Amino acid sequence: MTHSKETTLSRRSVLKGIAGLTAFFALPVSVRPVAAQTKLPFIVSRYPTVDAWIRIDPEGIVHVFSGKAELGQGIQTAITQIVAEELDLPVELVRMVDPDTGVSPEEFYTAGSTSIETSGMALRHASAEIRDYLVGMAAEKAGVEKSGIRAENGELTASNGVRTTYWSLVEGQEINFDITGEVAPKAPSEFQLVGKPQPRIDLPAKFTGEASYISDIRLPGMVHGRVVRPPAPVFSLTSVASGSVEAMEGVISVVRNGSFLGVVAEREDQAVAAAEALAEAAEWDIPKIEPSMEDLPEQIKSLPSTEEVFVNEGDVSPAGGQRFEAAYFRPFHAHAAVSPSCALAQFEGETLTVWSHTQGVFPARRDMANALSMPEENVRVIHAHGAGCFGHNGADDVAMDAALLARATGRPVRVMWSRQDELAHSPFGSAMRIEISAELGADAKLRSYDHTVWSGVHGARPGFQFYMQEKEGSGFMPIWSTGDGVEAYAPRDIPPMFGGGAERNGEPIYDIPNRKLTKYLLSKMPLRVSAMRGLGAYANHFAMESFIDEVAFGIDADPVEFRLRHLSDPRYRAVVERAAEAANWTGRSTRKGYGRGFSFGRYKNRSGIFAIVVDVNVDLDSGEVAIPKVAAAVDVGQVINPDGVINQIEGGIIQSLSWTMMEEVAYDGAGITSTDWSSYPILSVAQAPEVDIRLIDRPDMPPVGAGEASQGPTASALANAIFDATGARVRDMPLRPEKILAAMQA
Amino acid sequence: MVEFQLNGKAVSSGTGEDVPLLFALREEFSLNGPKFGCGSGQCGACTVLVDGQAVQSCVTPLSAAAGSEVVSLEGLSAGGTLHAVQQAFLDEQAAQCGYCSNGMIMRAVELLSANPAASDAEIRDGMDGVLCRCGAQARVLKAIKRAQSQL
Ligand code: FES
Ligand code: FES
Repeated sequence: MTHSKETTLSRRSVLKGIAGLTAFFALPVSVRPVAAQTKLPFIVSRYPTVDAWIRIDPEGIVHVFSGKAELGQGIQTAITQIVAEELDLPVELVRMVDPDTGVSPEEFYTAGSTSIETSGMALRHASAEIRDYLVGMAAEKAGVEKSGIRAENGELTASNGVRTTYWSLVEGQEINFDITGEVAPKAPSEFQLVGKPQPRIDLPAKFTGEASYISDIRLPGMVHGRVVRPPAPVFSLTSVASGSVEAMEGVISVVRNGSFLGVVAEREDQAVAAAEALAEAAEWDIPKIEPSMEDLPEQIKSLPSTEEVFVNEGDVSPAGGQRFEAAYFRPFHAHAAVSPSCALAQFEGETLTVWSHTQGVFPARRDMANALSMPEENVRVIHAHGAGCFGHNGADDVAMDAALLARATGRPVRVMWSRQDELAHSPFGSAMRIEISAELGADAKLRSYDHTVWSGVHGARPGFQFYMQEKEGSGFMPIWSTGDGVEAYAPRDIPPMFGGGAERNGEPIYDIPNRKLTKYLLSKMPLRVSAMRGLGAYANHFAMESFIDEVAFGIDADPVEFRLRHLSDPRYRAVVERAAEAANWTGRSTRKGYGRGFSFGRYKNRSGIFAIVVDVNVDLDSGEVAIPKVAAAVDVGQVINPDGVINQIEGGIIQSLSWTMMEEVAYDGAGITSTDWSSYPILSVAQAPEVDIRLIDRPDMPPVGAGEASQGPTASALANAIFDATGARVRDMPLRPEKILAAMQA
Repeated sequence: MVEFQLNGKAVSSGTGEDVPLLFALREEFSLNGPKFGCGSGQCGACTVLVDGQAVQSCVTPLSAAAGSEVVSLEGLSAGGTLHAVQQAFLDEQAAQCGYCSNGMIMRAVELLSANPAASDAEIRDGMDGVLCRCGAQARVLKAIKRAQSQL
């Protein structure tokens, strides 16, 4: 332990951590050290000192540094609870600092529902050790044993009555010792805050109109930029007569760099009007987009691909039992945040500061610096809250738009995309095709299960190339069309150590002895694709759990009982049984037009465990589906904030119903045609079901994320419910009325 | 110059008459409550009350506010006390990212003041055109019912 006399909290240890990260980047994925050997999360080895994570301000506030960003998932609240718990403080005295490459630990991306497992656990240990350290100081001062000190609200009271506070103890001290893992955090039985519902700390400001979002940031001297592009993934600018646009009121400049075309104006409304005029004045060359939307479900199998087998246990070839086969399809889905993406960028001399709602400030910085040929230390990326993004949407790209316009004009530039930009230019969740075949054994249980998926990549975020040993190119779309000569990096899919990409959840967690999982990763998709909530898990779950329902129906088995036949793990059984109980499950519906669908899954086969019953009423003449009620059960290990978990699970359910029932990116040969809310409709308030979620708390189990657990199972439960109501098995998403009617007639 | 009342204060705006009210409120008056979502009247993120009516300020020209009483999300809790609808949204934690909350809250305020005894179906219909991507829809409905019982 060091205990220096410096009065300012130095950034030494933070910088040490950053230097360590260079090595992290340089290591090939396969030989990167794994954290499993120690109970401390891996990230602690990169940021070993407590002050990289927590700094106590003598004014009476604890500042918390994390690389994990608030995306509307409530991570700031959950982490605040963890820190406040270990320090015996009320949550009001704990403040999370938004991720900032200038001060925060580098923690990869806020993705994959892993923030609690990594950042949360690092902070739990750091907090416990700081508390122990300060209690030690107080004990020494009072001349008592550590056990004679009681901590409450930052006050430390010794058994002999001597009192001090965290705040006075840290005055003039630098608390920057190494996290050892030797101080045990509280046992779950001692928790006061963790495990109890905590209202979200950021919502009061958001409900009263206080500046909360990136779009609320106003820099001195700020101007407004817009970028003009046709709604296509690939395009080149052939001509633009911009003279009349330059003459428009408030226009500062029209910026053209290769096919990158933007405008900067004094006021936002002026930038919007100028961008519209500029779009009119521009001529584009757009290569034909193929295969067409109509042909994609079949032709997706003949696109160029590489094959990879992830699981091959036993033998899935026919062995004389009853066989089942089916194929499923997921279209392209849009992230479709309610706010279009927004960013601000400011050059001051050689340095660039960017405000962004990116999910990874450090990877974004590295990619941006590389793409703009700047030293990385001259770029700072600061996170600010945006609307719920649900994966790699336009957040990063708009930041590059702002940086390019700021570079061209020398002014601090704010760019907010239009609704059309958001729906046409954000990367999409990949279209996927899944084929499953399986065979029943003599014991009426599945003896084999063979799952094959065709898909584009599920991870092409800026900066990810550096983690994957690709050094060329950029993940920022705007730079590709400039004359700067920086191309898109060749994305690979998310590797299994992060839960996999297209193949995620393609392996069943059921007890099936013979199993195979194959992925055909498509290298060239008609539209640009990247990470969207759940990655491949959403469609794999949809297919697998629709399939399980089909098999159960085929042998006249109850869908819940059939799943339980293949589940021996007591946690899995508990979740299935709890969901069935919450829904008063009594089997399939006997009433035509009303149906119930069941589904079950464990996200990434190692994260949140989830089961759901969806009820539907289907109008047998129109095929319209109404969803009156859903009931679900979830086990995410130790629960930090029960209401936070329920909110995440509920949000995932409702969003998944929207994706599955109604959403599909539409395009023709020249571009994306679903570019507003009428051509890309999402579930309305009026269509929302009543939601009943049962939480199974496992205080002694490690906490895992809840953000993506409900996405896939909900999709299949909906399909299964529609089948139950109508006899129509729709395997091709979205489950729109016309497809339901067609399947009913088939 | 367009003159109107904004959250209880007399104001005048020199931003052009045809400029969408949303941009004037955000830029000239530095409000954050009304938000840009689509700019075409489809999502409700920009909702403000004009003479008690919930309007989409992205498709309302500034001139339409002349002589009117405009209330934004900020104005609901102007006296320091939350409006019953805001309180109910907090009590139900009826948001994830909260970007839709302005539209949800403003529309609900209008709905409950026009029809305090609104039925479940009327509440659902009344929220038409205010979009949420995070899946807070069910909680929003609960929050409106809670506010209804408090008002
Ligand atoms: S921003 Fe006004 S309705 Fe969408
Ligand atoms: S809470 Fe995010 S859009 Fe509604």
